[in-house]
Amino acid sequence: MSAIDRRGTLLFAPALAVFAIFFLIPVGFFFVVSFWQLKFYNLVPAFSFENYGEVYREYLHAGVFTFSIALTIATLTTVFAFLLAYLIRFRAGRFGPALLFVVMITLFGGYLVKIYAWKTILGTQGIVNTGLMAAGIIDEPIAWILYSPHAVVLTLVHFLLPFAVLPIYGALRGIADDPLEAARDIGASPFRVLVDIVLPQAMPGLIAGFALAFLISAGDYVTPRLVGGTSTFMVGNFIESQFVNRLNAPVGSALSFSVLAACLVTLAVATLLARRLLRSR
Amino acid sequence: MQGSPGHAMTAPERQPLVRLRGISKRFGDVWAVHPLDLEIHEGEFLALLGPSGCGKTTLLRLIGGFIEPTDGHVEIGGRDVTRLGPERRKTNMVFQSYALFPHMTVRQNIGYGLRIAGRQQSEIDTKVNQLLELVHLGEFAARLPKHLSGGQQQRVALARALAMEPAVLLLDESLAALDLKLRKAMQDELRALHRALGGTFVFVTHDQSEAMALANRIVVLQDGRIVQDGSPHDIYTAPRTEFVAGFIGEANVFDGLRRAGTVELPTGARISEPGPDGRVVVVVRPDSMAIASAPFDSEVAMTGLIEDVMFLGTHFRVAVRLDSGESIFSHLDAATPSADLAVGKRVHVGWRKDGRRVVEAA
Amino acid sequence: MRVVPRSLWTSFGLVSVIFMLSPLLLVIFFSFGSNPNATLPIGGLTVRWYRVLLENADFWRALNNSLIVTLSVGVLSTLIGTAAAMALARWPVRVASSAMAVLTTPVMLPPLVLALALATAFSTAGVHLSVWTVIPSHLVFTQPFVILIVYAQMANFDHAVIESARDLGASRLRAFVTVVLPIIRPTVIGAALIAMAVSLDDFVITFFTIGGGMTLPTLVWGMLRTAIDPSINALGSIIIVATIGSSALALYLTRYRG
Repeated sequence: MSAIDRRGTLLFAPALAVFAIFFLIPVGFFFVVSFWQLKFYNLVPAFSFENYGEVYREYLHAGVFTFSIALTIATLTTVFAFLLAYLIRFRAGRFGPALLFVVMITLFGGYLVKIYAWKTILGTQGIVNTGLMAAGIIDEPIAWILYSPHAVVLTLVHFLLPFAVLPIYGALRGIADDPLEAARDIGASPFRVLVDIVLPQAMPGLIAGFALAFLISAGDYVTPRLVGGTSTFMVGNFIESQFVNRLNAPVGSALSFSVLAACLVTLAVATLLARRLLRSR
Repeated sequence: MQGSPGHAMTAPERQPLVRLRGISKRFGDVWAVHPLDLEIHEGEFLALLGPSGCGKTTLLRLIGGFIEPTDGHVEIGGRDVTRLGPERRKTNMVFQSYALFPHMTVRQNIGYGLRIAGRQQSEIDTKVNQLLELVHLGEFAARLPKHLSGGQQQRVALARALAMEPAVLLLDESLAALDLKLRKAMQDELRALHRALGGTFVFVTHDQSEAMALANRIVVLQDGRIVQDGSPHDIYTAPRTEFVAGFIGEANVFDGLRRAGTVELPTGARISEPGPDGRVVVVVRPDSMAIASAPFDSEVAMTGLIEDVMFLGTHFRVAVRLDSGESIFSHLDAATPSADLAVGKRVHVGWRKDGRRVVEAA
Repeated sequence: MRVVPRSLWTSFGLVSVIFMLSPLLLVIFFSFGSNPNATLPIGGLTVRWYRVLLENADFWRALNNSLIVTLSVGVLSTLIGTAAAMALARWPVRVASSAMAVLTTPVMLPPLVLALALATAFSTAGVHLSVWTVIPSHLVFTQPFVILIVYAQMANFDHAVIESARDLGASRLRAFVTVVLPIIRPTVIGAALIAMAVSLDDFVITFFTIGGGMTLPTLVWGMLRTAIDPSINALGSIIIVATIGSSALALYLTRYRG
């Protein structure tokens, strides 16, 4: 028995080493750096909450804005993804696999390429504006379609949708048909079946999809940069600029971990609320 | 608990093919097999029989070398193989799931072991062809397992194990996945194979009728211990414990109390059977339980009302509620006049002395 | 008695498919149009933008780096991830799923945070940034995909097949080579393709760990930040076809159904 265990551990060692050396240690060190100081562009070890103080003073409003937009994106993505996963699992019949295939291939295709695609679609010369003009609905291009929070929301919902569909579909696929039919047979309305049987079982998938969408959009900086315009500065942009423009890793790190901590608290609360809501029935 | 009790086949000086000495297996805190001894002889068709969790599969896997015993020794052909893996034992297994190699054809599956052993290709081909014919799969030789029915897959697994000419062929609940009709057919085939090839077969089953149908020796296991070891006839007619009586075939079971060689039944009846005082169980097979309209010669005389009658083709199965409250059932000949079997009819119930067994209470 | 009529579901499905696919299809569509503004009308059909791209030295440099990174990540994460999945398959399910949850955290973290953590660690350790720092950085978030996919296969694997091979005389290694590997090969290849697509798709972590070099996604970034270069559509199309093509092939090979 112990020989098997040793062999198993040996096979697992490389993956663990990669995880430890290129994830645990860098992220751990990065966290430590958030308490360090920057003197003449050099990192100086210290134990100071000054960086967190600066984050609180200067970036609170950006944080609140980022959170509201990330919550919007995560909520829209999760609802959209649930409907799509529900369609694939219960309503699409023989088209289900094809629909699932579309979802899975759009996981890929290039993150930047997708953002760029939306930039061309939504721009003043993009097909939305030219289409609306050709239809005579508007006379001149609407500039605010691009370079606005709406563009960021749209682009990120598009990017995150397949990531959210898969865990939700995974959860729905695990639901057997018999209990659903049994519930209908006992007299539950389709709505009651959804709320009492489908949603509770879909919960782990919904939470995973929501968490992923929320975390990725709260930490994104490329999308707001490319399609958000000057009015949509998110925390990611400030983190990036602390590094790239000010070369200030400690504040950038403090900002990163503040966002992460806030995200985790938000997710924990959201999970708790969702569970409470379903249990009260 | 005990080695091999005197069943007819054991010639005293014969060397056993497989000898388990003090063998035991513990998984964590659970004893799957308590220390036990077992000898298996050349030519036996032996069933390890018991309910799930009785340790029968563990015992089979100990013989095959898939697990190492916690304690004790395994000898095969007089050689200690306790620490040897399955690839170094002259045993081969037919797995419950068949465990066919899904990416190999039937021919490749059957020839795999010979190829591993480094045999000449021509020799492999000849041997595989013989086996294909033996299990009637000649026309399926080039197919992949997934294109075969369950019964055919089962025969491939059998042929693959037989290709190695094992000293002991092990079968792990191999027929359990088949439907009833196919199972009966495979049972016939297995018996024919054993007759034709000779050799020693050890199989695990939870199905007492399968054990009866196939084996010439049955080892009954309960909670990791051997509770009885003998021929199918012995075990049916002379169960040693209440568990064996209940597990092998149907039985009417009465709790009794023995004092000074007399057993008192809850019905008030008394029978004489020498033995130590204490709680005992009286076992009466349904075909030994007699029912008649008039009193008859019987060890005990009881009366009751017919509660239910089922016609099963070869016999009637009759349930009677005794006046003392117990329910018993009896198998009566299909020729019994149906007027004698009206529900609600008052009848006399009893048995002949050689139709019952008194065993230790569980 | 359905609450939502069938036609509503049908139109929802259609709209979803259009929403998911049209941005990608438009990029490919415009890459063949002579209108440099990537809008309607596209003008005549042309391969001019592809020719412009192929004459761009940066493209070849980026392609070269992308190939080095993608192939190395593909091979390494497949070896490491498959080995790990084999180990996990022998462990109790609870332990294995906890281990996988931990190893999957890099995928859940915003890429920017991981990228900056890696960049800070590399620079503090005095490691020169290049494609060789990108490769291990990619392994961290590609190996979970390989582990999850191969583990899913191993969890359904009938271990009696291995025992059976051993019973018929095969050594542990021989049983692995002749029985286990042939059975899981499509899954392993599929997992490798997914890992490669994920690696090729990555921009943020590459950008912060590559130093002065460039890959195809960082080239897209450069093109987006300078004056609009119409050959970006051609480059985008190449990335779309490469990542989607390999993942579609992977899905076919693993017969993955969600």
